Amino acid sequence: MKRYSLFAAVFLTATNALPANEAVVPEKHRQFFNSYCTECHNADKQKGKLRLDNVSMKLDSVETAERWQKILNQINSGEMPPDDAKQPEKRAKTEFLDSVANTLVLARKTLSDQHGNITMRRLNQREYKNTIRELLGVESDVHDLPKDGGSGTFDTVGSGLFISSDQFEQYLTLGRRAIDDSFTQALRATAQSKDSSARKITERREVELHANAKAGGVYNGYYKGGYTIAKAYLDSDRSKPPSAFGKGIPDETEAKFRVKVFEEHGPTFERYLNDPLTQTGAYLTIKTVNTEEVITLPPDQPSGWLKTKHEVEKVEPGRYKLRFRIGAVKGTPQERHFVDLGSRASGGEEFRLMHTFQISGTTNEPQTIEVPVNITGNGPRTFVLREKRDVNLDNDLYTAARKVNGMGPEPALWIDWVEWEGPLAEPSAPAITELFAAHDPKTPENQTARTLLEQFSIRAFRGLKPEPVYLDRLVSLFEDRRKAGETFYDALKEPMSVVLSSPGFLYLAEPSSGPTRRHLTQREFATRLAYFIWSAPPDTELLTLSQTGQLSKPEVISQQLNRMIEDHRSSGFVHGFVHQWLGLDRLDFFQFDTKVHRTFDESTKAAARTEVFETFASLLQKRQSLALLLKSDFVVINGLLANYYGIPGVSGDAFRPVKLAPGSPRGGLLGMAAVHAMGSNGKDSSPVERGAWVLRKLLHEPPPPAPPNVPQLSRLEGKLLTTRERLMAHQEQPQCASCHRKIDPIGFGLENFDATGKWRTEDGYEKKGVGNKKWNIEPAGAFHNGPAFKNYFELRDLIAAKPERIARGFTEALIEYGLGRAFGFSDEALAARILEQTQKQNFELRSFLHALVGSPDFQMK
Amino acid sequence: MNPSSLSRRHFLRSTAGSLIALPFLPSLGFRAFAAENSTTPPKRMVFLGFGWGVTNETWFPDLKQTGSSYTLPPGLAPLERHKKDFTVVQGCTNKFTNEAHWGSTFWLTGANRYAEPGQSFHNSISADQVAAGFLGTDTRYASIQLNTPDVQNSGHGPGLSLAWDQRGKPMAGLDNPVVAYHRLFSDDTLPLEQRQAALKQRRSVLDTVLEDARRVQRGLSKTDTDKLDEYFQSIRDIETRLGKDEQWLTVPKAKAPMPEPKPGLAGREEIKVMYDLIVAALQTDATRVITYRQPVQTLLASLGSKVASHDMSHYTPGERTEASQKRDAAQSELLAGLFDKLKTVKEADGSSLFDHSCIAYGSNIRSIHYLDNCPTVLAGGAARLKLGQHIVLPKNTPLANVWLTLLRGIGVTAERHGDSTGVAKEILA
Repeated sequence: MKRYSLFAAVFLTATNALPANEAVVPEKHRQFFNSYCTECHNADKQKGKLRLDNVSMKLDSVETAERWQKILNQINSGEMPPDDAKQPEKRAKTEFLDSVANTLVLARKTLSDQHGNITMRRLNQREYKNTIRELLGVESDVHDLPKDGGSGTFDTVGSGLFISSDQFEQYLTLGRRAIDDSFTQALRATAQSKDSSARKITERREVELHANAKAGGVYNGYYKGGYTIAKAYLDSDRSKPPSAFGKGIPDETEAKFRVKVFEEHGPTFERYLNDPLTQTGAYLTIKTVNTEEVITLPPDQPSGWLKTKHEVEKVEPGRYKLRFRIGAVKGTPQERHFVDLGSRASGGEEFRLMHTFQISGTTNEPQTIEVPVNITGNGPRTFVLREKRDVNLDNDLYTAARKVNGMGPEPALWIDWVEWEGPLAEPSAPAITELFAAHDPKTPENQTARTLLEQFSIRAFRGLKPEPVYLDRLVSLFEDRRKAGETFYDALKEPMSVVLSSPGFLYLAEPSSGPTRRHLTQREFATRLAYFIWSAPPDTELLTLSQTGQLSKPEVISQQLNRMIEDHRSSGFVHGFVHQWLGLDRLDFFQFDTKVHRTFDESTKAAARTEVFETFASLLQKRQSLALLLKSDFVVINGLLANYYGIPGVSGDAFRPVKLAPGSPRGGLLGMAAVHAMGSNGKDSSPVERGAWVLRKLLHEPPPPAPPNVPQLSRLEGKLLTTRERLMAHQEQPQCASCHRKIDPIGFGLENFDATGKWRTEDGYEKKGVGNKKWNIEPAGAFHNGPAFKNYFELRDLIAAKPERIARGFTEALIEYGLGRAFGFSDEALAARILEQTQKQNFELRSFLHALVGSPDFQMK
Repeated sequence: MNPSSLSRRHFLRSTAGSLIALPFLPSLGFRAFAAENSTTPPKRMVFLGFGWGVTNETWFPDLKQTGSSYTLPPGLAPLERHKKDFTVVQGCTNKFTNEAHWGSTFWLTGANRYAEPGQSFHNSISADQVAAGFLGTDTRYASIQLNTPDVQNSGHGPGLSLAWDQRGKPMAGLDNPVVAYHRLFSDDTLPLEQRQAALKQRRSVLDTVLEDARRVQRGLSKTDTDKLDEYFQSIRDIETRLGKDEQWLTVPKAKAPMPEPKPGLAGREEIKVMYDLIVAALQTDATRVITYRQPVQTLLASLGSKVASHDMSHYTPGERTEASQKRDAAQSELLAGLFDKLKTVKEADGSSLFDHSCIAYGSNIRSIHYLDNCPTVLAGGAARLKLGQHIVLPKNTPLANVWLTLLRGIGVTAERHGDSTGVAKEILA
């Protein structure tokens, strides 16, 4: 048997050879082990009561793996071999540690292999939300549920999805809320279909009324008013106190202060109030005067609300439209022509970004932007518009501009009016419509209830019929509510929310047939397929095909899969899978330092994240190759990102493929701002994070987890060094070198990207009390035991020359996500088949999905 | 008890397999008796887990200074005024943990992640839940798990709180102080009959979902049955809670000894108010066992530091070390505040709440990526510990030995916990 050793996986020589599932410490390390370990820990000389000469080199049991883990830990921590014993040569120790660490990873993987066994799973948060939406046509607030995926796997892996009593009760509550909302929506639709004006409200606000009153009040009262009194007092002979000249100035200090602030900020207010456009609208300014406009739905009221009042006290939850008419100010720079729309909880201050819009309209010809929003029972009802930026920089921006023009930054955006409309009549989901269909008045009421609850259960259970005893219980819950005085329809709500907390709804259960594996029923297959591609339940078409036995034909499956990919719901897969596969959660690990990276505000970060999804989605829709993630001559961006990347000729909010100029560093994951931002700490680039990420995701050579207890280096304390000099210390100790010799060179090759993915040729470092240092980026390097590269472009080409590496990693991730269990060695054959099939199609992204869905593994329990 | 609920209980037992039987629910009379006539105040247990490790050089006392005459290093200095009432223990390790970023997952369990062949993750019951099984019978809540919304980047590792149940499954925690406050102190304003009716209805709901669970259970494979058992267990837990609710139906919740927390608190303010809630919950005897998995990232932010928490934990000289030391001190200051409050609250016999509590504070991560010598501070008079000491245990003493010692100290008759090898006699008074 050809043994695969990760140690020998040299960059360009390793082929597609599959690793055998045997975790063995290679024989060549026996000598090291004998020289430095078993000399003291043997049968005769059991130093520390420890004997190691009988440890098997083959890690085929939890116990043996545990013993090797201890050996590894001891050497890593520097405790063994002891200081007074003979010490291994650095290189040999590095190789030994490298090999043992990787063999252990292999062993852990082998020992945890589930042998194709898929653990039943409950719906994760995303799936629950989508399933409720598909079933009831309403949105639910799943943030109340505990977070999924605690064990570091995909959120579709059953063994990592738990349930607790608290969570069960949250399901009851969320289910009930969703039922309530869907009933409200159905009744509204009925009412509005009879009378189109019924209960729908449009409320427009001319923003200048409030803005001018506020700005004028502050200016005339605090600034100018205060100044007039203060000035009169200061110019007087001071025989009378300031109060003799007017209110609000207690003493001389305050008087001097008010003169100063008026001279500083007064002109900014005057400019605003004297501008003719503030007679018909309002500017969105920076730092002061009128920094934001709000669209509020009752009962929310913006603070200091003047004159305008809501037409009604309170609006119901439902779907609404927000509209605003906006234009950019001529002569202001393009990059400021973006407006952020965010929400703000009642009484709160936090601005939660929802959308960013590029503004092409002008103050002469404004554009109207319309945004649909969902208003929930206790969700936010205030929506805020402001110029796109990090508001923490306002002071700097204001001060800098005031030095030039004495008035702060010129406003770049102008708003004519804002309005909201709703609640909109949305068609009810079939599960709700059929509840309200006419019923035979002669049928006893509980008989009708039983029929309705059965229909609903079948839908909720994705086509499965509930048991009669279960229905009996549901009906009796209905009867209890009737007895308690509820109306027929209200009394259905309780049993319906119980259906939504039952295992038939919450779990994707596939009974087994004993020790042998069986084919899924077509209904089960439809469900698995739908949750794979949509993270949502099967639709009528899929269920009908499964009921008529059509879903076993390969051509039907293939045609359905294409239909599903082209359906908007496939964003469930794109977002759910890509986010976890590439580890995008790291983008939210830290606040980006906008003092250093001025343009990487929240909106840009959001757009950078979207670029990853949109690129993947575009490859999927256009039947392009996965390999384009390594290098491509186009990017999928919108106006905001084009502006960020400095790519001309792109405007608007829609993401679309854009051809790159030759020599552009963009194109592919390695050119994306999101990828480099993840490989940073929010301020500085992190070559280690980036190198490890490339090894994990693009080259399928994941480094073992960071080992515990490795002694920290302190030799470099207080020195001023380049990033490379600092990290070269990794090569000094074998414990570090065993992994970092592979990781760091790749990271250095990407140093031309700063912490937010902007191209740079210089980097610098500042250390308090030590000084500054600047240096030119030197990206040249070589893969460990592999080819050399002069710069980023060569590095990228070397990575792009090995598409089978990313294909392999992608396949494993896809199997794990799609089948809902960890990828194990028993999946080797499946992975090999998928790779063989997809390679023939030039690794077309869509072909991976076809290959997995068409495999027996996907169709069997 | 009506026939249907009898059969449900029977059913629960029969599906529970090797699991616990439904706990004995003492009658209301028994509880009232216990509460009114007992002269010794009850014992309480608090576990505070802080994720990323501490600054090695400035948090641990000098190894040469053991016993009561030791100098508190800067990281612990804010605890000076309580010095005779807590003990710093060195030398403990959870020997199975290898995950350098998991400060809480195995902290209270001492489990081996890889113990179960065919699975890549395994855990076992945490010390607080062992305590809850013993101390939790007479209170409205057997235990309360507090958590932070800032878990993602705080070095805690997998889990939903510090607590893991009998079967090693993660237990959910309350990460919103306002919600925790209402759970502890807000009474249902419905009249008694309506609440009784609501309880009855809740039982019917459980009966209904169990009916469907039985359908699903049919024909499931072994692992799937185990998975569905988690569902059964959650229903069982509610069943237990309903039993308690019924028992406590006529007992109004205690009046809150503190105002309702402001919404949106984070970092320092979050920890402060959670500590207040801990004192309030213990003081009113709403529960006797509390865990709290604390924030790090938001704590740093609230201290005005811009360093990301993982970077802070890998403190290099300069900004990062400063952040790490600032965090150590801030946490110690908050802990000192908790001790102050526990000491201020008086029991019926004049002793303080602190005298009847056992508080453990620490993490599975020592510092940076080091998992040996887990930072451990023990305090309070409940577990008969030697206080006011700096105790250095033999190197690599199982941390579970300490937990076992605490559990025995409060009266649990456990033989072992996690990978314990015995009681740590050195820390006993």
